[in-house]
Amino acid sequence: MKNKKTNYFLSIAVVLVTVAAVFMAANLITGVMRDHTQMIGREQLDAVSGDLNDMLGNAEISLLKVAKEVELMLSENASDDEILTYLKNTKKDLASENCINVYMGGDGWIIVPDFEPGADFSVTDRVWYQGAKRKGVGNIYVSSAYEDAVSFDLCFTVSILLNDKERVIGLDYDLLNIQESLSKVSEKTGGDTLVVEESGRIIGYSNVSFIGRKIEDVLPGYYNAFQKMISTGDKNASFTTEIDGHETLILFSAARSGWYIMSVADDQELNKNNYRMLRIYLIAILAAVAVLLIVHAVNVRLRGKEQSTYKDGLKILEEKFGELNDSLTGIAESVNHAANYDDITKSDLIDEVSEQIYTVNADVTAFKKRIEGGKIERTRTRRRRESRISLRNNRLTMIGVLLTLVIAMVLSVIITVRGIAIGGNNRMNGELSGYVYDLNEWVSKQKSVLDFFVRSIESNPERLNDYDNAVKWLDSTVSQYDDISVAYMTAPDAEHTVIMNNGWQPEPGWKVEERQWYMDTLASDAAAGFSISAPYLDEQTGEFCVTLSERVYDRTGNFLGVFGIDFYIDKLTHILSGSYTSDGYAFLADMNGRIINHPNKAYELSASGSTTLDDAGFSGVLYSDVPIFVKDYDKKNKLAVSTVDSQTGFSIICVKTWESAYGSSISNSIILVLIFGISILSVVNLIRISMTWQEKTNKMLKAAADEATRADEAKSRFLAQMSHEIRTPINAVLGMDEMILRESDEDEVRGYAMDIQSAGHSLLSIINDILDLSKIESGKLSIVTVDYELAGMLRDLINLIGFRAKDKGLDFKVEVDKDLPSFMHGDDVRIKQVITNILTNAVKYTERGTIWFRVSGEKADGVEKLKVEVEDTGIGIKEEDLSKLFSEFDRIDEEKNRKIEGTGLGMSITRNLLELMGTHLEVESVYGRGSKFFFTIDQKIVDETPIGDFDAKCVKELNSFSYNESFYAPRAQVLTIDDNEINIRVFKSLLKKTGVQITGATSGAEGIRLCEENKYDIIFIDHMMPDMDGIDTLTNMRADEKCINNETPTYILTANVVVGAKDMYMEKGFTGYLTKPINSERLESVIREAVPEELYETAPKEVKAEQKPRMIAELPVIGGIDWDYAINHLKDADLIAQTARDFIRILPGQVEKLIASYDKMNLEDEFVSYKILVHGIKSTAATIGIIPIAGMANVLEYAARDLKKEDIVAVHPVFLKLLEHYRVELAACFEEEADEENLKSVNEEDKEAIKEQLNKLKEAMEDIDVDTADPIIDDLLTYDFDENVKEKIDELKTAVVALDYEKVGALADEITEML
Amino acid sequence: MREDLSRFRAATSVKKPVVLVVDDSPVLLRNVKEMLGNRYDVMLAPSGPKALSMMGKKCPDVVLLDYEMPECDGKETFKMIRDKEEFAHVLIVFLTGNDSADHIGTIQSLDPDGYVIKPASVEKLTDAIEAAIKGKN
Repeated sequence: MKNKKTNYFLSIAVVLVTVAAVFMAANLITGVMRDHTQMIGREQLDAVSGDLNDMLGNAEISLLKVAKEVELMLSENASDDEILTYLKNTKKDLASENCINVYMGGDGWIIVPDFEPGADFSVTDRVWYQGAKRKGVGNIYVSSAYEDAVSFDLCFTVSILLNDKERVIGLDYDLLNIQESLSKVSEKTGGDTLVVEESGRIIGYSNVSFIGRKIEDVLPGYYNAFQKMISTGDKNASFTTEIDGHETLILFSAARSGWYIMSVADDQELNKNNYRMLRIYLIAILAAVAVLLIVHAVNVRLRGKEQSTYKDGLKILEEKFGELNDSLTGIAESVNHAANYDDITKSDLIDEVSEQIYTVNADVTAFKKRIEGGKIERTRTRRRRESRISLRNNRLTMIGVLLTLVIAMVLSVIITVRGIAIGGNNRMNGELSGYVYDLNEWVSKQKSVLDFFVRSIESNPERLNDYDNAVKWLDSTVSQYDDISVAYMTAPDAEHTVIMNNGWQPEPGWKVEERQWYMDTLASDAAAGFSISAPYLDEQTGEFCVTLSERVYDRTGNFLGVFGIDFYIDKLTHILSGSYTSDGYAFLADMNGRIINHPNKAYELSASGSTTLDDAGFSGVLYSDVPIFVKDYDKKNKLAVSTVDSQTGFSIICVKTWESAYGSSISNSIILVLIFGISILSVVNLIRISMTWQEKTNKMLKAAADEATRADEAKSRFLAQMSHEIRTPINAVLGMDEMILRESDEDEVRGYAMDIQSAGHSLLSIINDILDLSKIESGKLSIVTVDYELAGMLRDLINLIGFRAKDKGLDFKVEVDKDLPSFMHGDDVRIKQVITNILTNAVKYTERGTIWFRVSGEKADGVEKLKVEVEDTGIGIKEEDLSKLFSEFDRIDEEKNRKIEGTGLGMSITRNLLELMGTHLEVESVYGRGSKFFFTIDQKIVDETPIGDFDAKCVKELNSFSYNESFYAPRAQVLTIDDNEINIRVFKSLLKKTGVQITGATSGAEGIRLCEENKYDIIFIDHMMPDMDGIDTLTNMRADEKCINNETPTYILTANVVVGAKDMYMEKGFTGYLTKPINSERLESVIREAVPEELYETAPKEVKAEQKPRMIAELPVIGGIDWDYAINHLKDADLIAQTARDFIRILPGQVEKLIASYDKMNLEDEFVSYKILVHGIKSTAATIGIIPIAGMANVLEYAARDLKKEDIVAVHPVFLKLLEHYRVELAACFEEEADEENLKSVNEEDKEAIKEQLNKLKEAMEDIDVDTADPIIDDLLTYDFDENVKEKIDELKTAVVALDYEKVGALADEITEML
Repeated sequence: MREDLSRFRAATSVKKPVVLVVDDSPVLLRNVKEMLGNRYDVMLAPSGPKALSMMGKKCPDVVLLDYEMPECDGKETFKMIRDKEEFAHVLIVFLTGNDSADHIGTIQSLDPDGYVIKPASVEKLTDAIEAAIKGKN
């Protein structure tokens, strides 16, 4: 119990922990997915803002270039036409950059290609002009987006005020490439990215139709976040808001133009599949847990229900045995009454009856014990089975939980590890792309400077012709940029191969075309011939630099040379210096794998040398898409990921400690695994506990279980034999009782006998009821249909019930439809049982008045719709009790009907039987007035002949038990085989008046032998016999070739009317069966059928009535002596008496020998002679029916045979006493009394004659001629001899009786001598 | 009555078959004689050897031989009779008080002309004797 409780709580704990773990796992997974979403949002933002800023940067650079050029042209007094031409060319050049127009305007004028401004066109009104003016000289104005007047595309303008503070250069750009970039990003990530002006106007979105419209109108969901961002002023804000019920991440970033890039990542949309998987995972696990809980709950409920059923069952059983005992007590009382009646013959029978009743009582008690024991055992077995089931279920539950847990854990771990990997990788890659972006940013910035120089030279190559001016120009420009070390123009063919801002001149022999950067630039594939060099040590400054260089052409496309700018490397590495933290760092490596910067200074590029990635242990990094583990300089394992910047060819390597990369995910996973681990351990422990518990319980139950199994088997057998065990003695009781009824003329005795009869029958019916119900319940009862005669069935019913009704003073009215067919097909036995039950009930519950029994019918298609109706004027049934009517053991109105006997099973059986036959019982009842029970049943018509006026046929005397034998056939031979001798006697008694010759056999084997020797007219075999049962006996008999009775009708006697019995018995070769207790009428009728007519004789009435009882009556009653038994063999009372006399005469001699043998018992031979001696005594005793002696002799005989001396020692003295007891008893009754007074005196003549007689006797005895010897010795005993001679004569008599011829000879000689 | 009967039998000159009953129990011997006396000429012998010596004087048609006897039991007696050629025609029916299957098997293995389980009624005895005689014929 304690274990159970522990188990219970442990189970709940496990379930809770499991659910918690599952939810944690879910949470973790959700977190990972959020990270993913964040990544995507960030990626979108970076991509778009990168593109947008690139475009703006390009636009600004182009604007600056155009402005410089125009300034130059103006300083050279170029005409408006020349400027227009320049603008036109520039427009063409810049078309690839999405520049749609280039123009210059001032107050009241404009120079613009391909555009004719209208009359009302005023430059000073234009936003671009005003913006540039507002910004001042040298500052770039970026307009908001507007719709182009020509193309209707969304455009923006960048403009700048020239030095004269009047002229403004403007470049118009469309936003098509931004649109393209937005579409590309959306397609790639699945998220939304927008470019929005501060006013809320959308100027870029993947959905083109939204462009130009207000965000609050078309995307109200995003508007809130946008407004919040504007109101907080945080241009890089990020929000998580709920849009359409989805948690959505919105990130902002501001572009240079004052536009906002808005990246929207819908977590659930982006992780749609993952969320679906997660949902399935959660639902599956929760469902598993729910199912387990339900299974458990159902278990608990079922157990409770079953237990209450058992209680009911036991209660019912107790009631039942109470009723059985009542019946028995009834019988016992009747017997006692009868026994008081002083009639020797009857009391003999009554003794038998009472003995039988004690047997029944003992059987019933045993039965009750067994049933109760069985019930308890059964309950135990059930409970064990139950506990087995619940254990099995428990175990299944545990294993289910365990499996669920393991699956959950594996899934969680997989998802988490994936999440860790994705999360960690994303984080690192994100960081990396940030650095790449920074690098690109820097490179772009420097390139724009380079571009500026290159464009300047391209547009005006002549300015290099004057070396000094050129140097000055370079220097003035370079001085504006901090990052630049030197800027220079190289041209191998020019006069000055190098023009550098610091005036450096190469030494002779220095050839620019041999420099690596120069060669790289010439070989560069980039459109503008751009290249960036690996870092190198600058000879002039002694510092590391990188060179950005670009090919330079003149306007006609002639190659002029390469322009280069050297940057100090620290400017480059500065970008990454911010990444140095305790969690990790990022560093650059050039295209040759040399590490440029590193937190470990030893790795950094320096004058003393360089370290490659391979040297530093990062060799694998470059070739891996995902982070890999490396051993860092500080000997720690770290994760590293790299990317190669396509523009510079530099690698950026991002290094992180694994804790920072995977930290939170890993710690979460560890907690998760721990929780699952604990859950699993608990479950395993629970299973272990449950198994130990089971083992213990098993051990405990082992004995009980085995016992229960044995008891169960025994009970099954017992139930099967019950009808035999209990019915057989009842059979005997009823048989004896019938003998009393037949033979007794005393009214009082008959009265009691009839009480016995009725109590016995009700006892039988109770047993039958129990058997029937158990059969119905176990579904073993089947309907056996046969052709039957309706009239016969009804007659039986009317006789049975009519008697009872009359007995109770009730009027019994029978109304049978005379058109009913006389023969029908159906289960007559069961129909009869049903009607009997209903009628019996009616009689039981009716105190006064009438019972109507009505049978009617309708014919249809060869089927008779038989309607049976029983109405009474009884106590009736309350309406609310009607439902109880058919429930087992429920007796209606318990209080009022207390004195009414019965099992309460009748109606239940009736209902069940009717249901089996496809119909049902109907009831109409008025409480206190009476009830009407009726049912209709379809029966096939076999013979349509109407049954006729049934009332006239029904003339049987109801209360008369007077018995009229139906035939007399003294030559008919009947064999009955039954292991119970009393049954044989009953059987014989029942047929006594028919005079048939009945041979009884007490075993199958004996029966078979008899059948080999004698021809019988009919054979009866008891079914239940030890060793060889009835069926085997017949089978063996039929197989026996010597049997001469193979054609003889053979009936089986059975107390066990099982389902399909008749067919089964017929199949086994029986002619039919008779139920026990044997119905004498039925018995006679089968015998009459079997016995050939020529054997019938007229009964000599007096003789048959007097014969045997008289003979028995002549013999004295001596306890334990069964004269009936003796009569069976000896047939004659005189012979019995003579045999008894002989027995007592020789007994002393036998005893003497027996004692002598007993004294010599140590020799083995002596066992044999002892055995023979007791055997002889046994045979003799048995012959004259001294059963106790025969029985004990038998025990001794077996003991002697088996050499069991201790048994002999124990029994021998008792045996001797018993022998003496019976000798005395018999002697008192049978000893011939010497007629002392009439003894003949002996004279001399006589003596001679006597001597002669003695001689004759001696000779006769030599030949054992008792016919001669006996008269002689009897004659000798009539003489009055001297006492000593008399003694000898007596001895002689004994010797003669004992056929001891030698002793006779000796004694005869002796007496002759004495005379 | 008995005299009447014997006279009647003599008159009808039916020669009764001679039956020798061998049993160690004198009570039973007498008993059997009583039971069979009307129908057969019954001789009695209380032991096997005695039976043989008596048979030398008057040869019976049927021997009713008790199986369970001290000293010289039914089986030995049976063999002794069967061993003598002059008794070849003698029918032997065993009497036995033991009806166990084993025992009956033992008896049957000797191939007697019949057997009767004790205690035997006159019908049983008569039937067995008649059956033996009938079987012989």
